[in-house]
Parts: sequence; C-alpha cells; structure tokens
Amino acid sequence: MAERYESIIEKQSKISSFFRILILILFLFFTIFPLLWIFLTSLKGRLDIFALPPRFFFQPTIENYRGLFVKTFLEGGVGQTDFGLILANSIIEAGLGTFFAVVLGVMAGYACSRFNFFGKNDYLFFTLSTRMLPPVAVIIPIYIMFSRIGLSDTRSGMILIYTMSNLGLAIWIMKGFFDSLPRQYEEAGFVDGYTRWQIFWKILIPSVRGGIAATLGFCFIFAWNEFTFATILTTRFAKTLPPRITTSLGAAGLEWGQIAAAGFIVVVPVLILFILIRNYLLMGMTFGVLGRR
Amino acid sequence: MAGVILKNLWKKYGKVEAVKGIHLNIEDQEFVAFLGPSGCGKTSTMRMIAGLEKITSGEIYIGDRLVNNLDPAIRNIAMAFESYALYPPMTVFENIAFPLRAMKFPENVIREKVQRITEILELTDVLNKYPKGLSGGHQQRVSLARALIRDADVYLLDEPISHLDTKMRNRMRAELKRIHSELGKTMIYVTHDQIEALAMADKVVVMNFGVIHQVGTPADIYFKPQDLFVADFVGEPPMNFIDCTVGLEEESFNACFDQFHIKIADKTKQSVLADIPNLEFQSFILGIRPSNIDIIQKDQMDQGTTVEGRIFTLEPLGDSKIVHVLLGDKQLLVETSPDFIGESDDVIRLRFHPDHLLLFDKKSEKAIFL
Repeated sequence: MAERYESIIEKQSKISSFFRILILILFLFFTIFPLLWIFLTSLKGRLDIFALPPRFFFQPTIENYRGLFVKTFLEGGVGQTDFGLILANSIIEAGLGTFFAVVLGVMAGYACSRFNFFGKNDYLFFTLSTRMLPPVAVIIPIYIMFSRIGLSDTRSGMILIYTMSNLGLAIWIMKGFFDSLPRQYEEAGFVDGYTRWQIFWKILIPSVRGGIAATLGFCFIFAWNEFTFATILTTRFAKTLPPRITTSLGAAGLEWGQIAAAGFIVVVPVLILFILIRNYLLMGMTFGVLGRR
Repeated sequence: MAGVILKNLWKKYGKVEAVKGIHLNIEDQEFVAFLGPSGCGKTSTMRMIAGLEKITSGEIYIGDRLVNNLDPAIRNIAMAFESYALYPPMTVFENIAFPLRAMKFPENVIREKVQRITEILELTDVLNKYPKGLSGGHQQRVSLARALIRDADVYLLDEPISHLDTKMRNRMRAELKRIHSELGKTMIYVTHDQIEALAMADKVVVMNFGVIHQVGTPADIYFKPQDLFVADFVGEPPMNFIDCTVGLEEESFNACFDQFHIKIADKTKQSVLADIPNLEFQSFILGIRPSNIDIIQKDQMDQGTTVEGRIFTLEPLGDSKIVHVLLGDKQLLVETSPDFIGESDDVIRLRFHPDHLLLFDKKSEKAIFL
C-alpha cells in the first residue's frame, strides 16, 4: 500500500515536473525570442529583413549599427547623426537620476526606519504615490513648470525628473532593508563611542549592500526605459534613447535595421544589470522582508 | 571602577510605566543580577543606566558622577546585547576590536587585547569568520568578548546567555563568574532565569511591574523572600502556597486549613504573631518549598506536625522525584528522593519542616517573619 502510494506520488511529481519544464520552455521562448529576433534583425541587410519566409541564416552586417552613428549617403552626406549625443544623454540622465535617487533614498529610508517625526506616515504614502501616478497624469503641469523655469529639453531637468520619480521607490525599499537591521547595531556602537553617522557608514551601509544594489537596479531600469517624460519634455538636446528609437525614420522610410540595432543597444545594459543584481531583486521587491533572516 | 546608584528612577513610555521610582545601590566590583519576568522593567532599567533610554525622572550616578544627561559613549560602560548585535560585514576579530578602534588604540595593542579575551572565551579559532557562519554559542561569546574587551567602569549584560543550550549555559555561568572575579569590575546582569541569577550574582534584584520586590544575596532571596512574588518566582519546582488562618492552640500558633493544623511558632517565644490584632480573623498564606516537605511512614504518626494526603501523580526527575499530593482539594508538590515508591491514590503522611515554613499576609502579600 505504502509502496503504491509512494509510486503515485513519484509519478505525480514526474508529471508535474514535466509540465513545469514545459511551461518554463514556453515562457523562455516568449521572452527570449523577441530579443533574439531584434538582435538578428539588427545584423541583417535590407533584403534579409524583408525576406519571406524569415531568414535565420544570412550574411551578417554591422551596417545598421554604423548607420546609427554616421549619416548615410541617402541622408544627405557625411558627418555624425544625433545618436551619439542621445546615447550619452540616456547614460547621463538615467545614471545621475538613479544616483541621486539612491543617495537620497538611502538616507531618507534610514530616517523613516529609525526616527518618528511629524507626518511620517503621510510622507511615506505621499512619496510612494508619486510612483503610482501614471506619468501622463502629471505631464502637463510638469511641462508647464519646466518651460516656465527653463528646464525643458535640458539634462538637468531630466535628471530632476528621474530623481523625483524614483525617490519614492528608493525610500521604500531602503526603509525595508533598514527595518530588518536591529537597532542594537546603533546602540552597541553608541555605547562603544561611535557616532550615529560613523555607525551608518561603517556598519549599516555595508549591511544593506544588497538593498542598495536592488534599488540601483530598479531605479536605473525605470529611468533608462522611461518614455513618456522623455518624449514630451525633450526635443533635441536632452532626448533619450526610448523616444529616439520610435523616430528612426530615415530618408528611405522606416529603417527597421537601425531600429533593431538601437533597440538592442537599449536592452543590453538592462540585461547586464539584471544579471548582476538578480540575487537582490526579489529582496528589493519585497522591501527587504524576504530573503533575510 | 565605580558603583552605580539609582535614585527614584522612573521610566514611562507614554502612559505605560515601565519603571516606577526604584532606588538601588550597586557597590563597586559587585555582580548584580536584575531578575524578573519579561516586561518587569529590568531591561529598561539597564538601558537607562547605559544611556540608551531617556530617563523620565530620577537620578543615575556611575561612580560619583551624575550621568542623567550624558551620552552612552562618555559614561564609560560596556554592554552585551541579548540579540548579540554583531556586525555582519565584519569578521569576528573586527567585531571584537570595534570598541578599541573607536578609542584609537594602536594596532599592536588591539591585537594583544583581542588575543587575550578570545583565549579566555575560546574564540581564537573563529577570529577570521563572519558572524553569520557561527553557532549561537559562538555568537553570544563574541558579543560578550566585544563588551569585556573594554576597560569600562560598569559592564552591562542583557540576557547574555539566554539563547544558549542548557549545557553551554551551565558552562558559561561558571565562565562569567570566573571572568567577573578576574576582572574585578562592576557587572550588572539582566536575566529572567532565576538559576542564572542565584548562581552568579553577589546581589540579586527581583523586579516585577517596574517595582523592586527584594534586593538581597542569593541566599536571602531563596530562604527569606520578602513577599509572595519573590517566593513564587524563585525556586524550581515552585513553592507551595496554602490559604490558611492562624490560631493560638495549646501554647503554639498553628496554621489552619481544612481540617489540618500545622504548628508554626511557639507561644512562649517572642512572636510577631502575638502583636497582630484579631489574629484569628486575618487571612494568611502558608508557603513551603517542595524540598522542605518529607514523606513519612504511616507508623511514625505525629499529629502535631504531620498531615495526611493522597498521591495524585509522580514525576521521576532522575536525581529527585516530584510527588503531587492532594491535601483535601489542594495540590502540593513534594520533592523526595528517587527511591520513594508509591502510586497514585496511595495515602501518605507529610511533615513540613517547621524551620522552613513561611507565612505571608494575604492582603499585603508581605512575608511575616516568625
């Protein structure tokens, strides 16, 4: 009896693991294939892109990547395109926006974790609600404000936007991580003659490295991919990659090859970042509650 | 080196009164244990001495210095926390050296001091490990080492061995007592474990609900509890309590309950009982420890000091045997030798050691010393 029962369980677990693997394979296909296709398309010439049936094997070319940076003959001659500037914009704006959001978020998260101050809960709710609002809801007032004070189409304006829109999340994630550290860390330090600031740097920051990594990842990916603000608030000087890709209209119509190449360039840093911080992502999503003892 | 004096110390958290105006004098080099159930105010008191908790009112002196408003750092105290509070990003060595680095000791002195304290606490083989990979016992000892490495006036130990297993706890009790006598420093030790308090401390402070119930040597606490709480809290198995009245019969004061009469004091001796007005109308509680009751053979009848009971159940505990005895409708614990043989519902006679009987006033719960 017991034997039969065990064999049933074994059979069930075999079946369920089969389905699990099947589902994973399907899911993998859905997520990986578009990426793969973008990558392949970015290496194809014009003829290969439009070939039917689609070609998986072809003579690869880096013409599309070159075309992103250098003007083609059809575009009216020699010189660089704006792509280099836009790539730099994306890196600077998303990078600095993330940096400020994380620095401020770590400190504010610590303050919210350890101190009680007037209106703390309202403040915490408010900071998170900025993240819940869809950008479209606030874009018009922000647009008007930006154009009045001359921040439209400036890098500093976009850095401000990305700092602001990421700060709420950064505070919440970091508050969760600091909450998981016992207050005795500080108290032991006080007794031994350290200041709060010294303990913060020497003990607490190294203890929440994972949280900082997760916050960095979340904020950077958000800012890097952000489309709405970038489309409305920038035109030339501060434009970032996401809106630029959609406007890859060359002289010869839609440059699918270049769009694919630009798309791939956008995806790569996100991919690398995800791989680097994948261990911390779950911790970050649960505000530091899971994944720590 | 210094003693600690608490004067009318209060701590309120909002409306909750955690410590209610306690007075205490801790001598230099003394090992004092704060004993009480959780929430009794012992940890709050210690945290106020450390300066981690603001004092609501009252005064704290360390040595002859009023420390009410001093930062923890300049009180020159060392503290070990119940939760260890070891720093995960640092190795054991760095954790232990951390307080010394704050005081800017030169590297070779730090090494020497860490070496010495880790030899005492047997931590030399884990110096390069991180706290996360250590067992609870090791973590606790690292936390102790971090406190003991300091040259502080007062050492505050908050339940430092409560998370260890029994074997380790027994060993650490002896270690700590030994370390105390070697260092010759004032130590304050918070615990809810009466065995720890009695075994280690020179002086035990029994607290409950923010009030000190008794301050005394372990022997005082055990043999002369000043009130019902102390009598009940200290001792394992717990003391038996019997509601009774006291009457004067045949030249002696007797404690009476149900049909039983137990002689507690001679009339001829000077007895405080003689001064209590309306003695026979007052309610009392008779207390006796399970180890102070003998089970006697039926033939040794002695009506004056023995009572008849029925065995409810038996618990053999190795070195001793606990017999639950029904006396009328009351259940008493009797600690007897392991070779006592008996079965449930057997009728036996009990003799209460007259020297170890305790009497408490039922209303005030204070002990009446006969």
